[in-house]
Amino acid sequence: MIKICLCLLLFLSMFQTHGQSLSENELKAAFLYRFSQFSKWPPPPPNALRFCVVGNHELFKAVSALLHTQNLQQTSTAIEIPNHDQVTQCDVLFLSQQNRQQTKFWLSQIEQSPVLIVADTSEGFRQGAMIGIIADANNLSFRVNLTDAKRRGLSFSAHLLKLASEVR
Amino acid sequence: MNNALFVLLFIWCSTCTAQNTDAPPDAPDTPKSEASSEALPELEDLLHQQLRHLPTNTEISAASRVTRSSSDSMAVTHVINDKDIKQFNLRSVADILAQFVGITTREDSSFTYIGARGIGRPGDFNSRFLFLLDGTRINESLLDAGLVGHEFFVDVELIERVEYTPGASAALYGNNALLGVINIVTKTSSKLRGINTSVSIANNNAKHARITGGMRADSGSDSWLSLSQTKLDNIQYPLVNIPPHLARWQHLNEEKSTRLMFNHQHGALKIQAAGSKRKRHYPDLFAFDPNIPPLNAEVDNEAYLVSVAYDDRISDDIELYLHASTHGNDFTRRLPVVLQNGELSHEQRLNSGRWSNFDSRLIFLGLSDHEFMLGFDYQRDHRQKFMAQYLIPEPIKRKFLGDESRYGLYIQDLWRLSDKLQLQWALRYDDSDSSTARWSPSYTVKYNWSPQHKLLLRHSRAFKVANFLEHFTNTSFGFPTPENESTHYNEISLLQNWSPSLSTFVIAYQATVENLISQALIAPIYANTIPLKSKGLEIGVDKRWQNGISLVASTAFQKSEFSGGIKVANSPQFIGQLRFSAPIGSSGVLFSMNSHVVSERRVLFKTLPSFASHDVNISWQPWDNASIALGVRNITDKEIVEIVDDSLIPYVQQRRQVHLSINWSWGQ
Repeated sequence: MIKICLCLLLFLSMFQTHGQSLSENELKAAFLYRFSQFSKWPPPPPNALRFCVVGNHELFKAVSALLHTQNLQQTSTAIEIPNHDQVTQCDVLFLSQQNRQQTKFWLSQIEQSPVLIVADTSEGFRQGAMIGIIADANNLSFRVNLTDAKRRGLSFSAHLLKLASEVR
Repeated sequence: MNNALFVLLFIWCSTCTAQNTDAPPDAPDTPKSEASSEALPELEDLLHQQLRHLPTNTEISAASRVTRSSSDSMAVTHVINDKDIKQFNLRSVADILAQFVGITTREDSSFTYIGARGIGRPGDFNSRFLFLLDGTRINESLLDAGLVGHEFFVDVELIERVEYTPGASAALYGNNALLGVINIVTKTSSKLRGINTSVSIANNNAKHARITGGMRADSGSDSWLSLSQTKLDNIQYPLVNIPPHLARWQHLNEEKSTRLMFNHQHGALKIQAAGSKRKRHYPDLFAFDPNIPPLNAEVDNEAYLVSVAYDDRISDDIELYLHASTHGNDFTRRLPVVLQNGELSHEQRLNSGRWSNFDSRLIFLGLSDHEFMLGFDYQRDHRQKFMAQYLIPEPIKRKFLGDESRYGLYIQDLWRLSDKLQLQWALRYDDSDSSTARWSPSYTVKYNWSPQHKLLLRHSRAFKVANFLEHFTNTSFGFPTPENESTHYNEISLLQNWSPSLSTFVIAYQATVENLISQALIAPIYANTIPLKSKGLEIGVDKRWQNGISLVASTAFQKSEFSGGIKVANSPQFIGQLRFSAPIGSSGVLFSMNSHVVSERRVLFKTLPSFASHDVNISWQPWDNASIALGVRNITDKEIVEIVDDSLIPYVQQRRQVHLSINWSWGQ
């Protein structure tokens, strides 16, 4: 009986739908764009958003593609930052796969600037990013550091705070 | 039957692989044209998107006491998360731990014992593992016991993840971190918002219910409160060949455990309070007269914890963590006695502990390429009490009281020598009122020859101080307290991500244990044994397919021997584990299966046979706020026998069990 049930289950599971899902970097790019929609910059707000990416070329490609597919090229630009002098030109800065020391290095040029800083490591989040995207084995979630955001004059919508896994 | 299961699984995996050969390779992250044409998902939908590959980085904290990315970790850490707990129908911390490579569990229906790395001492209450709850040490203070059964004060449905870092880690954690560190991380209100309930029943009369209420204020502060209860009626005696005249009183064998937990976080401040009460009744068969119903023996276990923690960056270069907690654990056993005048009385044994912890640490980034951590741990045992009251042959009361202070001071430096090479060293000094001082060093070198492949070399030491039970038992019989047990541990690990959907690990370790504290065979005392050598190889693979199928498999080969080639008790030479899950269609139904294989093991003069056990589960999420799971444990109804202490009584482990659980939430 047990064997029959198992055979049936295995047979059924062979008819699977291959639903479209996003890759990890595509997901991060989508999160990044949504974060920018739920954030408010101090006046004067930027006319066009510059999305800077550090440390992850594939993520940069995913952000570029997202801006293209959402027809946002007129109002937003994706920039891959090779050195930390250029971070001053960012409105949104994604520090990807950076440890504590590296995060500290990248943020040293923009100590009080109103830049929305997003990191995808817990070290980056603890070291000054306002939003940390954290992966577990199955999903991505995000955390918000309100203290750092307030220090830079940024604020977040209640919706974003409600969905965060942790608000500090 | 076992062979049939594996053949089916093999055919299934082959089919899936064949299906996926037409799929694009794992590597490209470039957006697909189909995705491009779709509207961008909302933020809520992004949170529910399933990763089709293994994530680049997850977060772990057991390996280094601070939260770190898995790719930056200096020790191998295995993780079981809330989705695994739900999917594989894991009902206790012991069930969760049994999923980790090389870990075995054994129970006698009162307590669940864990063994790892070839060491599972009979009569040891898991004191060679360090247990943490959100970073707070929770081994109780009298036996250093790790509670992993129904007496544990956190309901498994409140657990976000459990991390297991195998190996000696005294350089960071001090006492008890010999075989590994287990950190249990609880959920935040993001997963427990509104009202969340669950109910489950099993065919062995086990019932479980939980209600949790959580909220997040506009300020971002998080709170949740949870109450749960587990009830087991008519518990089967865990013994082989029970005579029918005893089995007829099985309905008197019952247990009820209740847990209450509160969690509040505001910014960098976190407050946690938890309590559990476990009450067990069982017929006292020692005083058995077949003509009258047996009297009930009672076991009560009450435990609580209140903790406050502050964790924040106080400057660009400094992070500060401060933590204070107070704990209690009472265990009472009452055995009925009919006195000569016919009056009913009880013989009683009480173990009562009250203790407080204060931990602090600083992380300093002021020196280029270095991450320093400096920490101080202090534990004050306010009350250590053993009390035994006997009535036969004549009334006698024995009481042992103690109080103790223990502290540890440690430093750790992570030095990034280059992009590919890192060195981490740590040194800890421990002292306490009842033992000699200890220094515990640790050195780890990590070489990443590419971002996907890394090699770790680790040497560390660990120790276990004789606990209060071992101390007073020996003292009361006029024997000296056992020396501190110590371990010298060496490990080489190879972690490789072959593709975004396939990763493997290989760990080879060797440990020398000196002065192992063990129950003596010839007297009711504790003694240090001759040196013990343990070595082993652990291999694991994690594979994920594009259509949501996942396979996690691990094997552990281990050999532990005392000097002279004497076998170690409860030390299987082979342990295999497998977890497999696959979605069925697109209706939110998930099929999962986990299997355990353990080779034969010796306990004193007995050899316990090898076994393979399989669990099967189906979970269905018809709506976002509801899920249903149906599972069968030990589906082949294999009789698995374990020996947990020197009494050599063989205990039968869980037979086939069918579980049904329903989870429902409102207001999320």
